[in-house]
Amino acid sequence: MMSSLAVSTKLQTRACIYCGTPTSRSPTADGFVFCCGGCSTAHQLISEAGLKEGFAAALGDARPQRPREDAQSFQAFDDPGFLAAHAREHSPGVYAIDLVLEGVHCAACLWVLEKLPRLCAGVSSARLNLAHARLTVIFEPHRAPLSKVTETLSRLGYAAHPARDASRLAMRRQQDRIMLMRIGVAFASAANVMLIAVALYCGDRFGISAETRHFLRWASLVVTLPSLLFSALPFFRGAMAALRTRTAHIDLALALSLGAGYLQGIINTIRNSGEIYFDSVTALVFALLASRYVHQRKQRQAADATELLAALAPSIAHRRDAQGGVVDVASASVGIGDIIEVRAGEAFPVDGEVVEGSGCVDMALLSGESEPIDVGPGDAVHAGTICAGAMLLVRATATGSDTRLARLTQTMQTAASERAEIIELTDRVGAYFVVGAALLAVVTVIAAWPLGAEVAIDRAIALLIVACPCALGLATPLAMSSAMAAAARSRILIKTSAALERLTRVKSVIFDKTGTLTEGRLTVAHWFGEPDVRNAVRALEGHVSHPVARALQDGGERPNLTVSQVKQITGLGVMGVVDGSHLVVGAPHWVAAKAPNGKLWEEMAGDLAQQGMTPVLVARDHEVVGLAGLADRVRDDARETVAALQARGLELHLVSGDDPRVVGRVARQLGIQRFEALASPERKLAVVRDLELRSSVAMIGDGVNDAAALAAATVGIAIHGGAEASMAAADVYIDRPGLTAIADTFEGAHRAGKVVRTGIVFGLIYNVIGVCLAVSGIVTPLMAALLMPAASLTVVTLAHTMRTFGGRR
Amino acid sequence: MSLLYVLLPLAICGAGAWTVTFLWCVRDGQMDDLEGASWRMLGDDERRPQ
Repeated sequence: MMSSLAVSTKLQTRACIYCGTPTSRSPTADGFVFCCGGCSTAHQLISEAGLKEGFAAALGDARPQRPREDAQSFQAFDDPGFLAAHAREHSPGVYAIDLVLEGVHCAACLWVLEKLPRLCAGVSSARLNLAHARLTVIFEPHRAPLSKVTETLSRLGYAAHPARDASRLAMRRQQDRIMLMRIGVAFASAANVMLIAVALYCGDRFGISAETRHFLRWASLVVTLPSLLFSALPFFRGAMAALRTRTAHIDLALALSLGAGYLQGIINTIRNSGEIYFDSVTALVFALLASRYVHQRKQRQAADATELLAALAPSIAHRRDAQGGVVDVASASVGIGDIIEVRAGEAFPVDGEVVEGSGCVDMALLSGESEPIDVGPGDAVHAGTICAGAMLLVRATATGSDTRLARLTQTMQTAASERAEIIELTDRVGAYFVVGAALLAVVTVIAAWPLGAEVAIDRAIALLIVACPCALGLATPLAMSSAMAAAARSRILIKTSAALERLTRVKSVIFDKTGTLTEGRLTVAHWFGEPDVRNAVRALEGHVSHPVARALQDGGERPNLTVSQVKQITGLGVMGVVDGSHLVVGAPHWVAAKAPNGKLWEEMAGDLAQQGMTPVLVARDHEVVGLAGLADRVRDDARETVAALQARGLELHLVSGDDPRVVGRVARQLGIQRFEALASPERKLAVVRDLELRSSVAMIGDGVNDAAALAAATVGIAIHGGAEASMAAADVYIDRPGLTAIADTFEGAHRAGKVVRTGIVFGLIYNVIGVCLAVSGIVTPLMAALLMPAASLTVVTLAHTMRTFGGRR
Repeated sequence: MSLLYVLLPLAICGAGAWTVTFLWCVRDGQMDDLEGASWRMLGDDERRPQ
């Protein structure tokens, strides 16, 4: 008799009942689903009568965001050295510290976190920067030690890390502020020049005294200067850099037009004749800066989400000194051979070897495996992974930049820098623009020379101004940022617009391992034997913890049978007495040897193994009575994703480190023709490089061992639930359970590419019209002033109305 | 038209004042978090102890 007992365990996604964000977290005891601690606390507060009681209740059972923070000791945070390194003195006895929080993403978070002074006496203020998930806390250490503050935050559901990238962040904030200042000045200039321009245009039409006209032109020159000297600076700098490195850049084309416009305007104002183009040029500077700002912000949002990694390896180590005492020191000052204490729930600060104690280690950061690994004396442990069991004593073998985590990061960065940088589309088109406009200008001067030198130069400059690729400069950043925002709404984080552009050119896709396409855990795929044997097995395995045991327990109620004398034999199986009969469950050769009828069953087991399954034999009272085939099931959505990708004409590869039989089974089931098993991380990197010689490659993976391949691929896509370091290496991070998002990513990128191209085509049409008018000498400042915003407006509208990622707009 | 010679510089000074105020706001850090503020106003005010 044969029955398939595989259980469907589709990952369920629910909507947070407070803010509606999709989440894969499981419901609370009272049946509500929340996406974060903030939402659950906020909901609780609203449903409770008073604020105070609400907080008390919320703190009573608010569970930490991540179980690993459970036992985290925050004592090290109170170290005076720690305070000196990470906090700054606000006023005597009062400190301010920036904390990076995990799990911040909505208004409820902000609301709850800023109520911190009420929850923690001694905290005078807490201010959250929602965009960067950073909380600035002002507190008095003698009333509210930092450990208490972080503990309260942890109980609210936010794991807090001291912001370690303070200097980089301060630099970035400074850049953001200068950018905003440039935009503000550009806006003030543009708006006021526009007002004066209206007076001048009206004057041209209805008559104006020469004196007034001269005065107004000088006034607009004065108002233009801040825009020219401060706001437009980045374009001129970009152009200079492009000239120095002899590369094509859109800034060069923009600077040529802006420069020509400003210069012509200034000269003509001084000689009091000819056209001034101040209104067009200032408006343009404002529009270009604003679109760049929007673009930059969108790009950073995606990058920020993956930047938490820096805070993961702890900066404090507990070092044992010769007398057996424990001193907290900075991780960087730990020497090789030093003995370090790592407490349960903490991350290892260095690579090392366990010398005392045994427990388990959560390797998720490095391997993406959620299953903790058992370690004992002599075993190696790595920085950044988490000590999940009891306290361990570790002898440091590598510290700082020599740890495996640091070396992996290094490989990742090298691989990323080796990838030939592809010149962005706008820059390529921009290069033609510069050359084209310059040539046309020369042609215009020669052609119009018979009309007089002055006329010829006027026309050439008018041409340079209308040939400004402003729509081009706007089209790409706006369309890209609009697409990236839409992608982020459907939980696909794209780090740079260059990655988005590269996605559209991908020809082949590599799945890094079978675990990406399968559920990542064993289930019973085949069962030969009577149901009562199955129940007996289930009862026996209930007393054992092992991945195989867990698989055998699944599928049905836990039977109510008496189990005794359970004995586990490592690597072979388990035996025990169930309901009076002796039961042995385990590896086929081991079980078969215990029973006379074992030979036949062992052959059947061999067949299952050939199909890529893990066979388990069951013997009762020295007679084999059952056979289970365990396999990692293909995910429900894998088939449809693979079909969707193949329908796009993508060439699919499966390159896995697993056993050839397992890889073959998964590839056959999904219809992937090209597969390779037993591939080491180096081999994966080589496969990526080989394929890249032919075409653009996307690599989809989730482990840190693939980080180098992810970084080397044209586009690296890290998927949900993977190792956190792979998020840093990838260009795209999918923050949503399930594989359907992969197909959505390619579909969205394809659409975004279309939007960009449409925008560029429209921009070019306007430029061609403008150039034609300029060459024939009929372009007036008014025409230029109308043509340019019209072009920009078309492009902006296109970027915001065309559909890219997600179902609707 | 001589009024223009007074009013226009005045208007430009007004624009200058606006710009300076804006620059001060940015420098002061008021524009660092453009998202939080829109949510912050939705929260309840702290009730004053009576």
